[in-house]
Amino acid sequence: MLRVLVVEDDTKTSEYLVKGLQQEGFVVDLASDGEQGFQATRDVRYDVVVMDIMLPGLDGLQVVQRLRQLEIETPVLVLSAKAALDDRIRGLRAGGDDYLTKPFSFAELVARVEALARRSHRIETPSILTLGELTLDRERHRLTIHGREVDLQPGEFKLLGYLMRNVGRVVSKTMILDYVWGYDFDPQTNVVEAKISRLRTKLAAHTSRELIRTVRGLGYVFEATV
Amino acid sequence: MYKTLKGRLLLPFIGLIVGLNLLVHHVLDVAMEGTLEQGMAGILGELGEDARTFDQAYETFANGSYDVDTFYWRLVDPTGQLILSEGRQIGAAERLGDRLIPGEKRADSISVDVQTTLHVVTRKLPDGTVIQAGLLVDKDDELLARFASHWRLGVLGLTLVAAGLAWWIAHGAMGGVREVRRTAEEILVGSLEARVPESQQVVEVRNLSATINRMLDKIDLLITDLRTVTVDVAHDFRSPLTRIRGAAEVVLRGDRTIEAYEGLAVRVIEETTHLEAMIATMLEIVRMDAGEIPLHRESLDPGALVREVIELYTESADTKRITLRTEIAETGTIRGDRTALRRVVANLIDNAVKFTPAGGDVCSGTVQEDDAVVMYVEDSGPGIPRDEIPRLFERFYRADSSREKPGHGLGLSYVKSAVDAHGGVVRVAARVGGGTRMEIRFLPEISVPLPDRKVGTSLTQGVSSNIGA
Repeated sequence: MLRVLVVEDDTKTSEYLVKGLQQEGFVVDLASDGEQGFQATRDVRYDVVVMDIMLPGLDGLQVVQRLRQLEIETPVLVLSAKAALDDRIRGLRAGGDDYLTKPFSFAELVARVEALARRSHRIETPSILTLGELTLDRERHRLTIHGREVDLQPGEFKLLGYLMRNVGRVVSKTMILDYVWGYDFDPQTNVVEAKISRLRTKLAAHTSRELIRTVRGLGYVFEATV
Repeated sequence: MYKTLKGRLLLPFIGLIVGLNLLVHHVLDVAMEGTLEQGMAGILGELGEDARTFDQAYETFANGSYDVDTFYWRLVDPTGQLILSEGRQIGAAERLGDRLIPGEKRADSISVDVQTTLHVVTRKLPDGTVIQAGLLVDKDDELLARFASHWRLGVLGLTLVAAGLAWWIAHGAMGGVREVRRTAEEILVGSLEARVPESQQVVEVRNLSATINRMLDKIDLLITDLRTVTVDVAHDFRSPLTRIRGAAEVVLRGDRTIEAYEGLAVRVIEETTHLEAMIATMLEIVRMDAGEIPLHRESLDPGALVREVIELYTESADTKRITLRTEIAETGTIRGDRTALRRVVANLIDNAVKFTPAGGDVCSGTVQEDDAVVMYVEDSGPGIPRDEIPRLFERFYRADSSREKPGHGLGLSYVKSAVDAHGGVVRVAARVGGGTRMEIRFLPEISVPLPDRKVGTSLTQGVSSNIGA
C-alpha cells in the first residue's frame, strides 16, 4: 500500500485531495504548511509527496531543495497554479520529481503519483505486457489476442499500450492526447473518442470481452481480467 | 535651480559671460599697465638722448621743468659727484648707474611703497656721466579707477541682458516640454485621448512629441484591446458558469436520483474542462502576441507536419463520413516551433472537419511557391461569408452559423497569433467549386532568390480575402 503525504494549505483543496487519494487506495497524511511538510517527509518514509507550490512560509520548491540537501530522495509532485512555467518548475522533472499545473484532472494526479512511486521503487514496465488474452510486445510492435496477431496502426499501438500500462485506472482524454500524441491542448473535435472507437472495433474482432470501458465524464479505463 | 533644464542652460551661460568679461578685464588691465610703463620708459628714454657729455646733459635737465611730486631725476658727474637732483629721491634707485658700461642705458620699475611705483631710466654717457629720470606712478590712479568702475558696470549690465536673453530662449525652448507635461497630467486625470501638439518649434521637442504621441497611440490600442478581451472573457465565462450553476440547481430541486447527480458531475467536469482550455488558450494567445512565449525554432518539414496532424483526425473524419486527403508537394523546410505550428495546423483541420457536412471532403497539403512555403487546408463546407472574414481571427469570434458547434472561438485567433509570431501570413480564400481554403505562408528556411522577384513580396499582403473573386 502506497503512503502519500499531501502538503496543501487550502483546506478545500486538501480535503478533496485527501479524500480522492484515499478512494484510490492510498494511505494519506496531510501537512498544512511547508515546514510541517518538510518535517513529515524527513521523519516518515513516504512513497510520494504531493505538494502545492504556494505555501505559507517555505514554498514547495524550497521544501524540495531542503529535502535534497539532506539527501532525502522521496519523489515530490509539485502542484502549480501558474500557467507559465518557470525553469525551476520545469527542472523538477530532470531531478526525478514532477509537476502538475492547476486545474488538473484527478485521473492525471493519480497517474502521476503512481508513476513517481513506481520510479522510486524502480519498477520498470516490462517490454512484453500480458493482460488476459492480450499480449503486447512493445519492442517488436506486435499485439496478439489468443495467439493471433492483430494488425494495428502505430498510433493505435501506442494508445493501447498506454491504456494497458494503466490497467484498472481511468485515463482522461487530455492525458491520452498528451502521452500518445504529444498534444498539450484539447482539439474541439472528438479525435480521442474516434481513435478509441476504432481500436475497440479492431479488438472486438478477436475477443468478445469489452476491454476498454468509457467512464462518463472522466475518460477510459482498460479493464483488468476478472 | 541647477536641477531644472532651464537652469542648466542658463547658469553656464551666465557663468561663461561673467568669466569672459573678467578675463578680458584682466588682460586689458595688464596690457594697460604694461603700455603705461613702456610709454614712460620711452619718454624718459628720450630725455638726454642727444646728450653725449656731462655739459649737454646738464643743460637738458637744468632747462626742464617738472612736477617735483611725481618726478625723480638725478645727474651724477663722471667722478661720482651728485650734481643735480630733483623731485622725491628714492634710495633704491640711486646706485642703478654704477654697474652700467658707458653708452648703456637701463629701465627699471621699483616698488616704493604699497601705493607707488617708480619707473626709472638710467643712462651712462660715454664720458661716465650718469643721468637718471623717473616717474612715480600711483597704482590706484584715478583714471584707471574710473575706467575700471565703468567697465564693471558694463560687465554687470551685459551679463544681465545676456542672462535675460538666455532665460527667454531657454523658456521658449522648454515650452514644448511643458506641453508634454500638461498632456501627461491630462492623461493622469483620465482621458487617454490627449495628445501633445506636434507643431513644436524646437526639433528635439518636436521629435519627442511625435514619439510620445506614437507611444500613447500604442498604449491606447493595447488598453482598448485589453478591455475588449476582458469583456469577452467575462461574457464567455458567464455562459458556462450559468450552465454549471443551472444544472446543479435543477438537480437539487428535482428528484435527486443517483443518475441525476452523476449526470451533474459529468456536466461539471465537461464544462470546467472547456473553461480550462479557454483560459489556457487565451493566456497563450495574449502572451504570444506580447512576445512573451519564446519560440523554440527548429528546422521543420511542412509535409511531415501536415501528415502527422492528419493522422490524428483520420478516425474522427471517418466517423463523420468525411474524406480526409493530403496533397503533399515537395517544399523547402521552414524554421518554426514544432508544438505551436502543429497546433496551428490541427486547429485548421479541426475547423474544417467540424464545419464540413457529412459526405464532404477535407484536404490538407503543402506547396512551394517562388518565395513562400504554403501549408493549406481546404474543405467542402459552406464557405465563409465575405463580411465575416475580417472578424474571423478576432478572439472569441464565432460566426452565427457556428454557435451550435463545440469550441471556444479561439482556434483561429491562436492560428493568427502563432503564425504572426513566426513572421508568416494567414490567408482565407474561397475554394474552387465551393468551400473554404485556409493558407498559412512562411518564408522558406533557405530562401532561393529568383532573379526577377524579391523574396517576401507575397508575404506582405496580410490577411487577404479572395472569396467570390
